[in-house]
Amino acid sequence: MPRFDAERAAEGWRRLRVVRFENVGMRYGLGSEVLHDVSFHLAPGSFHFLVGNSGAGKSSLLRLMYLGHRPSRGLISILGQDVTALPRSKLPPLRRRIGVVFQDFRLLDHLSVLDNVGLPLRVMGYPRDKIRTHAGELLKWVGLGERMHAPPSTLSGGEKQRVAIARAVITKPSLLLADEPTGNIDDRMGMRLMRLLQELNKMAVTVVVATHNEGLVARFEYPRLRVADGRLGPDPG
Amino acid sequence: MFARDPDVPLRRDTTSRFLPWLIGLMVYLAALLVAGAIALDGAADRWDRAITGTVTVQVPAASEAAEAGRRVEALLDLLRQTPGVAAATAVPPEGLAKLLEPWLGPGAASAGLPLPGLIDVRVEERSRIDFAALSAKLAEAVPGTAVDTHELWAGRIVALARSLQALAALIVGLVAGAAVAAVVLSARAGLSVHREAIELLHLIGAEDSYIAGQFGRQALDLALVGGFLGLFGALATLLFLSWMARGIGGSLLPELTLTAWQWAGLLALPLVAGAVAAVSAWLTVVRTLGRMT
Ligand SMILES: Nc1ncnc2c1ncn2[C@@H]1O[C@H](COP(=O)(O)OP(=O)(O)O)[C@@H](O)[C@H]1O
Ligand SMILES: [Mg+2]
Repeated sequence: MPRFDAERAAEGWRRLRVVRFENVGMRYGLGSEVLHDVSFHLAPGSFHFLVGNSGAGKSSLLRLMYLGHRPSRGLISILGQDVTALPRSKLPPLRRRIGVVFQDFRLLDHLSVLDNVGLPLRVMGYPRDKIRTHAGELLKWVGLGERMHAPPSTLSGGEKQRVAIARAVITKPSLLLADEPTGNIDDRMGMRLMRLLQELNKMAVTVVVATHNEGLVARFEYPRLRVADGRLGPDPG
Repeated sequence: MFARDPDVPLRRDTTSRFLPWLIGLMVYLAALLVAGAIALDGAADRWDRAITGTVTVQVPAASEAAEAGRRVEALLDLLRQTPGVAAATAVPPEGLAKLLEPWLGPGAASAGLPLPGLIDVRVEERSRIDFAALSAKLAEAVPGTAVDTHELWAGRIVALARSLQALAALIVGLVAGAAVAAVVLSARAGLSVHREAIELLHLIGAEDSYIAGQFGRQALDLALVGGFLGLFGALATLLFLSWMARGIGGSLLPELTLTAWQWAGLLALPLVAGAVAAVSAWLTVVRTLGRMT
């Protein structure tokens, strides 16, 4: 029987990265590069802030992580999969393991709040009643049990944000990406959202929160990744 | 049957609005065409069995029986030498008298009335006899001889009707082509109008086939609505036509009585249109999305 090699196991654990970028460059269409030589790793279960001024490239970096855009150069590996050359047909199963809270929420206005939250399960072919039960539980968790059948357009910014979080986590993703989740809501609601994200992180979900709200960042101990002019640099503090 | 709460609400699109009408028109034309073909088949059958391939030659009456017999013999000789004529037989005077009995009463033949002679001519199938020339030749031999070709017209009317049907089939084909093109264009328009919703579906892990299914199901709905409207329109038209025809009557008029299978065929038209629309939309979306990176 092979002996358990603690040294090698630890090395394996270190090499297992949820996100790995090596010298990644990115451009939109034929435009000039908006991200240059980006290299970083995220360990499983970690919580990171992605900070930087408006226009620095935070959203673009998240976009690469949720497979919304291909890099123009470099290597990206997500959840152990090299996605640089991943064929189109292999994208959906990987995307289902990544939850995204978009800056503009991207809720579908012709569907109820409940159906918006259930959408990721619906595209996976889950039966309708199962989806409804599950989406209903999540809406109660984010404190929107009363608004299930409302159209998203009738919700406040903070409520939409919580619907977006519920939708992002309904597939129990391993990686959760949030773009400016505290963008247009007051501080109290911002803290409440952060607690939801912390709760998820405690359940071993790797979380990345992009924000330019330095005040919010300062209240937490989590490590920061700073983007400036399309480059990822060390964070001075 | 209808797609409930689709993720991509295509039915409100302006490009989707004219689809049911186009498909309705297609099914309307196709249903009339099928009904017409069925009616014509029945009529052609009856006409065929009665009279195809025969003409009648009328020989003017002569005062003497011997003279009448000579005229008929001369014409029979001429006819039998004509290429395309399969057989020529004189109708015997007794037969003729029987034919005329209803008008002239019994004993007309024995009364010594001068009766015209009749010759039955059977024409070979697919022969191209010039009846005008034949008629002139016969009249030259025996002045006053007439060739009655009206039975052949029945065959020609059937042929004409068949070519009208071919034309109608062509038109249905063109409308069907236009309907498929409209489905394809409307799917493409839908992809671009709902670009954001489709991007979201992709980002939460939807396969191209799931999105294509949304388009396919909604195309099916629109086509079924249009298709059944078209079918009901066609049935209403047929009812109206047979109501109009009631007053005319007559065995030459096509009759429309459908067997169960023929009814099933008519009812299947909207379903076929729906299936074609769904598949066209589905394929368009799968192909268009597949070209993205
Ligand atoms: N869809 C796009 N097409 C072209 N350029 C874009 C697009 N989105 C962002 N950019 C550009 O990329 C750069 C980084 O933007 P972004 O990633 O949104 O920054 P941040 O999220 O930090 O504000 C900006 O110069 C912006 O103009
Ligand atoms: Mg941004």
